[in-house]
Formats: sequence, structure tokens, C-alpha cells
Amino acid sequence: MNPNQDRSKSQIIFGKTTVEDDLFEENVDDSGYDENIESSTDSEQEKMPEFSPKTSTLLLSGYSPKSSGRNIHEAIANKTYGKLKKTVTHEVIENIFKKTDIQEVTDLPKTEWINHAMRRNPAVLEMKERSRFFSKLESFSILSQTAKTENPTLLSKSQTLQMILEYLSLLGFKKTVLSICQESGINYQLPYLKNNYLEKMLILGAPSIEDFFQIVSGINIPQNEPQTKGEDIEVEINEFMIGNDQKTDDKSIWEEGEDSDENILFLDPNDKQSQIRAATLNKLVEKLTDPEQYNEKFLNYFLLTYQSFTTTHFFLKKLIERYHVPSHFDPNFRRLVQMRVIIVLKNWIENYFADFDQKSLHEISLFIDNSLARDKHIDLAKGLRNLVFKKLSGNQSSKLIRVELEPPLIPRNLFSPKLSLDDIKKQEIAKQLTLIEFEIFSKIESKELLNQAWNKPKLKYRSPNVLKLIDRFNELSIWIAQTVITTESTKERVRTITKFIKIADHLLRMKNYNTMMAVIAGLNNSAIYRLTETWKLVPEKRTASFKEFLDLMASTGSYKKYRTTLQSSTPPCLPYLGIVLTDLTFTEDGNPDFIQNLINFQKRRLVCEKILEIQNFQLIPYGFQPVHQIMSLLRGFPKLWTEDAMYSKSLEIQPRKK
Amino acid sequence: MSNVSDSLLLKLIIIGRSMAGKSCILLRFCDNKFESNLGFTIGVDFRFVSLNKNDETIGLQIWDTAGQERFRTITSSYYRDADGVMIVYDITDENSFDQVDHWFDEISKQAPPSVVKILVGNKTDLENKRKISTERGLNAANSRSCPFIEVSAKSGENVKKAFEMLVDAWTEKSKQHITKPRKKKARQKITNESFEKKDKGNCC
Repeated sequence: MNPNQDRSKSQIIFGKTTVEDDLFEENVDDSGYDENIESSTDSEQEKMPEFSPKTSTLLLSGYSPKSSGRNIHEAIANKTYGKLKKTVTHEVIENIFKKTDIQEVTDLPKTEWINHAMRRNPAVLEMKERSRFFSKLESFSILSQTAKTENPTLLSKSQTLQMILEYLSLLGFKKTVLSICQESGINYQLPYLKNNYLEKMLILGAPSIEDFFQIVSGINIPQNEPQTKGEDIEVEINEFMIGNDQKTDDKSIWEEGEDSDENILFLDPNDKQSQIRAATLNKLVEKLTDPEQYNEKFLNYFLLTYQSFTTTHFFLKKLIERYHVPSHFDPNFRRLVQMRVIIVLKNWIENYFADFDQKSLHEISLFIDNSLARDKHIDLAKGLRNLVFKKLSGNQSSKLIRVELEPPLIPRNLFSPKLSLDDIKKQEIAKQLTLIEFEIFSKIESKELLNQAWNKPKLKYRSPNVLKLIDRFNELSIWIAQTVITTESTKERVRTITKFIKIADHLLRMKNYNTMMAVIAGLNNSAIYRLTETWKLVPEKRTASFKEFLDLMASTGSYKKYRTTLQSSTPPCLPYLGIVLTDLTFTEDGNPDFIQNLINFQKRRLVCEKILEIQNFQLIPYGFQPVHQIMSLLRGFPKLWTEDAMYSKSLEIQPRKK
Repeated sequence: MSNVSDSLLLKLIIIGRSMAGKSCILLRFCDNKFESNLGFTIGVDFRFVSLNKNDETIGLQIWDTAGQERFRTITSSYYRDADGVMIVYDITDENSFDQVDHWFDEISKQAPPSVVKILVGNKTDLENKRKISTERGLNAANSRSCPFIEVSAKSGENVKKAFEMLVDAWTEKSKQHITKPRKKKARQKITNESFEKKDKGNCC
């Protein structure tokens, strides 16, 4: 089978909601691989699956036999699906998803039934979306396969199965795990000893983190940025994430001792109530859960930045350690500390759920079951468990504040296939551009901005949205320059430049500095900028505004003008990301991570303030109505020209002066 | 800081691969530990430095691309009115050195012909991790007829010197504009100087 064909098919299939259909088949036919793809949508509609769609997708999304490595799935499909179905159906339908009205579901035709299930369980949809990269990862493995017999990069059946088992055991399906083990003859090893299997698979599947990053995010690393390959990613990540000082962390939190210069420094050395300048991790966790004072700001700063000096697992370990107050302490103190620990944990889960992986969720679940239950914190245990479940099922309401939408300025020929940007009002173009970019901007998470992750080859995977926004920025600029340069006549060129200046003007009024900067960069491209003959013909009013834009965004005085303007800008607003990144770079490089071997918390506070500035703008979206037809003209630009090509075209339009 | 407005003002930019240590060089040169939010406070520009040279005060307005390297379409416009460019690579990182050619090409395309350049190898404090020999750096600089120096932003070694050399190169070039350029000699002088400095060991 042609691997390319295979790949494209799997993508098509993933685009619809039909992937999971196959999972309900008792036997997956080895030879009927291709036929199944074609027939899955129509001919199988009468067959009713026996078990809850929610369960099946939760368990097996990303493991569709059609969508990825064939040999793996044959094994899994044949050996385990049947068994899975019986045990899982029993346990799940009986115990967990009682609320799903099976009768109501079974009356529907199959495709509608899937849609129905997706609608009722957004978590399933989300899970499906989230696990999409597995198919890409496998395609990648297949593509990098040199010979059919020997392929070290392809994920083995047992690894894949181990991962399924890991997930099942996390959900608590002990019987299922047992029966799969018996069926397949594979021994399930407890994963939480070192890495979980997902990590292992990713490492195996992607020989370098850059490749992995590309696969997951779909962002291309520019050619002039050579990839670093073959280095040990685990070591690198640990190096970046944990820093160089772990000695102090080996000590139990209860052996840390009183405050001293050895373990904590205050901003005002004489005032222990002042803010912490630097401290050991133990001390930071101790202050975080101090029964005598609760400092919400400190907690927020900590949760926003802890990933720059420790890992989720280590912090969780410390928190649980703190919970286990030694018995010689006063019972009242003990209770208060425990309450504080739970408050921190609750805050953490509530606001930074993305920090947790399966391993840490497993630990939390053990903590709730064992420690909280033992200490008779029944209500708290219930509350925490519900919170985790709510988060897992993704039923949270969006953080974004909803606003009234302005009606769009729609051109008459909106539905014409010939719709072009010339038909659309400039203000509307500016609005749709803003919507596209704000959507990416609003998704930027705090951890994307820590440790200059966006700049480090080994940490780039942590900053997908930052990189997306930058790539979008570059694409838009090049597209604008290209649109100008490919005009047929001088008259048209002048008109195009004028149009983009007007759009930039609208963007400025919308306080969308990021997109405005991209438009400026496009017109400022050396291929466009040098066309003095063209610029002479642009109305003076417009060139004057263009100069104003340049002046506003000038680097003089450390972007003084822009900073002043931004300070008085009320949301909705989209700040220029470049300056945020430069500021973060200087804060990171200008301050040491550790002061006398203590975690420099003041540095994290500075980083935090920058991040909070961003988050402040992320909360309030623009009240514009998205118009799909216009948006599609403004993204996914057709093949963009290179700088060189544009420059040669520019020389054709206006040759160099001798 | 004396009366700068009367004297010379040069616009310099620092470029190089991300993580080559551009911001550290600038921070070191500006003698600013950046331990407060000073840099972001409106009205304070730590990127402005004045340098005393033969009783003359030269103002340096330094712009660097740190953190914004990926904004490819932005950086090009900043070359346009630059007087001098500092190209930084990391002596422990082969990739950053590979990009030096790319930067030189960018400059010749985007910057005015009058611009002066200097090639700077950073992180001499990591001698044991060195991958790019001094000679390779020097050869790359020679083939582009520009001065070369190795520095350590961490220890501060040669950082000030690098900026001074760039200013010297600019003064030299502006003189040569009037007379006929004698590039070869000028280059020789500067490269000798950089070795001299190195032999003296840690200074600054």
C-alpha cells in the first residue's frame, strides 16, 4: 500500500465523525482494510453498537484501526476489542454513565447516533480532538520506516497496548485490565514508577523533539533554523525545568527547619512579613500553606510560574508531604495546614488543569482515596473528586467573557465563489483579521511564556500558540507585500497600498497592535518600501498615517510611544507580542534563577507581572461577528513568495538607479 | 552622561540566533542587572548608552532582536537606518555559527552600504564546551572584511571592547568615505588588536 495514500485517507476519515464507527465492529477484517473505509458511513448504519459511545471513544480514541498503523491495530482489534466490549460495557454502563439514556440513543440511525453522542458529551469530542495527533505520529513513524521488517521507530503492539492498559487502570477498570492481559499475553507494568507510556511512546515515535513538535502542532520550523537532532530530550527537559539545584529538595518539608538565611530571603531583610525574594522549594510550599496567613496573590504567582523551577510531580509530592503533618504537632495546627494544602490543590486544579498528566492525576486520586478519606475529610474529598471529574469531562464554562456581537458589514456577493477582498469593506477586513488573531492570542497559556520556551529548540513544544501567532504574523506580512507586488499596474499598486494603510488605521482604532504591526511590516518589506515611484502617488493623507504608525511602533526610548499608548488602552485589545517576548527575554536573562542556591522568586514575580498583563487582555474578546466566507480569504494563504522573488519583481517594477 | 545631543549618535543593532546571548551582551554592556521592572518603565531606556572616545561622547542607541527572532518580517526593517550591526554567535553552538552567513546576506540586502559590521563569538566562559575555534570565527570575519572578537557576556570579558571596536570601525569607515578606502589595512589592524586583547586574559 502506498503510504501517502494511506495517510491522506486517514486524514479524511478523521475529518468526519466516522472514525469510531469501526471500534464497534466485533471483528476487524484484515483484508478489508480499504473497503471498510469506504463503507463505514452508509452500509453499516443498521448495526447497533452495544456499548456507550462515550466509553469507547474515551478509551480508544486515537486508536482507530483505520486511521493509523495497521499491524498494531489488527492485533488490538482482534484480540482485545471483543473482550473489552464485554467487560467495559458491563462496568461502564452499570457504574459510570448511568445518566446516558441508552434507549433514546438506540432509536437513532448510526451516524446521527454518533453526532448525538458527541453533542451530549463534549468531552468525547474534545478527547477525540486531543488525541488526533496519534494518527499523525503514527503516519510519521510509517513514513520514516526504511524497511518493512526492521523498524525501530514504529511503536510496537505491546507499547500501544500498555498505554491503553495504563488509561484503563487510571479509570479503575481492574477487571478489564486483567482480561486484556490474559487475552494478549502481555504483562501490564505499573507506569507510575518512572515515565508513563505516553511519554515513552512520544520519545520513540519522534526521534527529535523538533519533529515531535511539528507533528503535534503542525507548525513548520523555518529552513534557516537548523534542527537539532538526536539529543537526549529527557535530559534537556529536566535541565530546563528543574534547574541545577535539587539538593535542598531532597530534604523532607518537615526537616526544613525555621526561617534562616540558608533557606529564605526577604525583599526587606528586616521584615519577615515582606515579600519573599528567594527561598528553597520547601520554604515556598510551607509559606504557600501557612495556616496563619493566606496570600492569594502569592499563590497565583506561584501557580503561574512554578514550572520554571520545578515540575508538576515534584510540587505535588511536596504538597502531599506538607499535608502529612507529623503527629507531634498540635492537632489544631495539623488540621489548618491540611485545609491550606487542600485549598492550594483545589486552586491548582481549578485554574491550571492542563498542568496535570495522567501520572499526577493518578497520584491525586490516590491522595483523595487514601489520605483525605482516612482523615475523615469526606466532604473535601468529594469536592475535589467532583472537581477533577468536571475538569476531565471538559464541561467547564469558557473563561472568556461573552459580549454582544456587532452585526458584520456583509458584501452583496458574500456567497459568490468570486468573492474577493475588493468587495469587502476595509473595516470588516480589519475585524475578521482581528478575530483570527485574537483566537490564537486568547489560547496562549502562561507556561508558553516561561523560560523563553518559544526560543528554545527543546522547549518549543510548550509554546504552540505563541509560535502560531508569530507564524501567522509573518505569513500575513508576506501576503500583504505579495499582494502589493503582484499588482498589474502602478495605479492598482497605489490603490492596494492605500487600502492596507486604511486597514491598519482600523486595526489601530480597534487597539489590535499585533495585526497592525504585521500590516506595517508587510508594507515596510524592502521590496515594497523601495518603490519610491509608487509611494509618491499614494495620497499624502495616507502616507502621513503610515508615518504615524511607524512612529508609534518605533523602538526609540524602549518603545516609549507604544508603551504609553498600550497603558491607556482598555480591553478588548491585542498587544504586539514581539515586545512582550523581548521584555520577558530581558527579565529572564537579566535575573539569575537562583540566589545563593535559593529559588529566585522575585524574578518569577517580575515574569508573572508580564504574563498577567497578557492575561488581562485575553479575558475580553472582540465583539465582532465572525464571517466564515471573509475569514477563509484571510487565512491559509496560497503559496507565498520568497523574499528574493518579491525583490526581483520589485526591481522589475522599478529598476535600481545607477 | 554629558551633552549627547550635540555629539554623535549611532544606531546599532545586535542580531544572531536565538539563545546566542544577545540580550546578555547588551545587559552586560549597559551594566544593568535588570533586577527591577526598570526596563519596562516608560521613559527609561536602558538600550541607550554613551561611550567616551578620545574626549568625544558618542551616543549609542542599541536595538536588539532578543525574543523577537522569529518575527522575520519585522527585523528586516530595522536594518534600514542602522549605522552598525553586531552579529553574535555562540562558540558552543554549531548551529548559531552556521547562521552567520545568513545574517551577512541579510545585512547586504537590507542595510545601507555605509553600515559597519562586527562578528562576535560569545560564551568564552564555556571554553570546555567550545565547538567553534577562534580561527574559524576569524576566517569568517576576514572573508567578509569585518572585525572579529570573542567575548563572554557572563564574565564581561571583551564586551565593552566589542562595542568600541564597532564604533572604531564606523569612525574609520566615515573617514575613508572622504579619502579612498584602504580596507585591507584597516582590517589587519583590528584583528591584531583583538588577539592582543585575548592574550591579556580576563579584563574589563
